[in-house]
Amino acid sequence: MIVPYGHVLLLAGILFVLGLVCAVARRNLVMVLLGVEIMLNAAESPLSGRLSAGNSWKGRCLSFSS
Amino acid sequence: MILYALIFYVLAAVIVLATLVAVTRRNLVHAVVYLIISFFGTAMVYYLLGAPFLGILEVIIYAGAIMVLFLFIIMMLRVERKAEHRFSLGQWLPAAILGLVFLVLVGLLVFTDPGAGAALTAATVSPRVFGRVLFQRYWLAVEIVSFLLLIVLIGALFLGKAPGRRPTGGREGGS
Repeated sequence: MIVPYGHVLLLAGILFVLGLVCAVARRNLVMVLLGVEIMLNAAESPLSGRLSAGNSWKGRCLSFSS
Repeated sequence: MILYALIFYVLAAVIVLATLVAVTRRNLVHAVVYLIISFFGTAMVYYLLGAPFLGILEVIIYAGAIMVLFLFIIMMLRVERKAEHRFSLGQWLPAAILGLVFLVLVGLLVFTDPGAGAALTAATVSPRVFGRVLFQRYWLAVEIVSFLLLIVLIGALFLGKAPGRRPTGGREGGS
């Protein structure tokens, strides 16, 4: 056991919120795109832990395709 | 195994701090470089969770290609001169409140979910097994994604060759 799966989810949630705030609050176009990239990266990170949690391939393949 | 948990928490702290600094920087180049640190941390989390191939892809694609593309955009379009001078409160306050509400909801959802306590055991997937499963079981999704990328490529070519383009300014081709 490394960590509970909820902690990985919580890390991804914090990263997603940071990306969301960056995409909403910044005025610069590049920073808005950077926030979108942070959100995409945060959305795919908990999927990669699904193999370790439930022996499922779907999360890993979904994460790859994003 | 307690060492793995320690590594995970240190990596998570580094990722969150680097992203927080990157979000609040005024200088765009500094923001991009801090975000590269965050992506390296994410790649190490992938490696820790047993996905070394995804970790390598994270470094190559996110920290390598996409962030270098952002640096190219910043340096070629000279966006840096137009960086905002101060953070206006009227723009940051609603975003901060919405983000806080969202964060509280995420915390509630995660800690009340019965499946969230599932322990992550140490398992590793080799790239060969990964590729075999991906291209045998999910070949249709791979084809759809590749078709989407082809459409984007043709669209980028078409937009790049549009006749209404001004020859002097390089500003209109954004992201």
